[in-house]
Amino acid sequence: MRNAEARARRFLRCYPSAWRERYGEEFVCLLADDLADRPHDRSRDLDVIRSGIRARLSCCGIADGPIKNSTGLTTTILAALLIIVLGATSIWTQLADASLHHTPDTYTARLAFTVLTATGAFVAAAAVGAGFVVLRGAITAVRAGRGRQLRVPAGLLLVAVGVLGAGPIAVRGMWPGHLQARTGEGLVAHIAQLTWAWSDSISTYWIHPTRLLARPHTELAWMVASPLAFLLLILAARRILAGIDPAGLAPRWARVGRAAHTTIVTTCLLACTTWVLASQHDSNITLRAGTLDLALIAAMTVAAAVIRAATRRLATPTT
Amino acid sequence: MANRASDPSPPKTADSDSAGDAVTGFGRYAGPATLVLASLADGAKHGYALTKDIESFAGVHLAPGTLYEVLSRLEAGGLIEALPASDRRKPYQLTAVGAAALQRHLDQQRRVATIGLRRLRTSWQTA
Repeated sequence: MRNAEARARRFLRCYPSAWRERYGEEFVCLLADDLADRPHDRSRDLDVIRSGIRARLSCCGIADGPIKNSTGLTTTILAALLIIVLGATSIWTQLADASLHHTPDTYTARLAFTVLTATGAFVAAAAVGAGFVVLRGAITAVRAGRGRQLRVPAGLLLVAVGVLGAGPIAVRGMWPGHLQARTGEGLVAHIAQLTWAWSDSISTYWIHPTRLLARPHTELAWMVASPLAFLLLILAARRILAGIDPAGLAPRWARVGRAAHTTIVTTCLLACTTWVLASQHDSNITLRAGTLDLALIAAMTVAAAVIRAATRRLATPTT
Repeated sequence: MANRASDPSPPKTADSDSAGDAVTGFGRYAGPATLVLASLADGAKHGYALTKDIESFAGVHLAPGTLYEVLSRLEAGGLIEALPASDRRKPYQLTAVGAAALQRHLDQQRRVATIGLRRLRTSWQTA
């Protein structure tokens, strides 16, 4: 029986902490009894694992379910936002690199470049604004004596920002735009260099190991380090947001932010999709979208749907 | 050949329009939810007692994962409620809302069963 209890506790780890807090002990009792009755029932084991995964997805807002976990939902939203931003960044970088070489000669490429540049500028400005709201919340939390719980995530955030700031400088010499740029070191070239570095890990090189290993070691290291830095950024942001209440600080701006997000993401997706689909017949190889771009559009669409579901879930009362 | 003219379906009532909404609203969990509610209809039970009871009257073994998915949804929907735990096991009991939902759902199921059985008797001469 003790063995069954230990096995039941191992199975319990499939479930998220919010679920375990509510149902953990009684579930372990039931599962231990069931394990004692049917020690080798594989369908029961699979049922528990599947149910645990569903509870985790539910806590993150990806599947429906009665248990809600605000931290999990925030993480999901941040991760999905990052997918959209990196996807759009990757596509914008290709268009920017090509436009530095020569003016895009197709209407869809010019449209996608213009729309992504405009929305990118808006998102950058909005991100600075959101940063100020979060900073205000952090100052309020410190004044209220909750500064200690923000110390570690703030440190992690600085490390992530430091890596994402220093990395592009280290790999700037590998930017393919250097080979193409006709406009020298203009603003677009500087930004394209930065966005290329941030989205460098989004590459088909991962499925071509020979070509991947032929890259310079510095770039290889960066291709591994940059996703980790983004992961660290999300984890730190999640913990900081859990320590303060940015939506509570600016409820009106939270509503405006949701509406702006929907508009921007829809516009970006439409512009990217139009370019990707139209460019399949483009004679200019530098502006022809590939399978990776189609995959990016698909990932961004899924991420947008996930954000929509998770924000709705976040707004519903906790059960 | 079924004689549909001689087998009119019962008229719908206002009650039957909303019949079983609370239970059928559980989608793929509607079946297990009905079994759990039916088991709790004669008194509060904890998880293990529920699985044993359902096994005895329906011949179905509800796996623990599925059972707790159903329990959490029924509890969130206000159809059942948890009682204070005696040891580590927490018994659940039917609420008034749950009892009414189960009544409507079973009435609807009975209508379906009655019509199905009648049509079988008419068309297939089953007992």
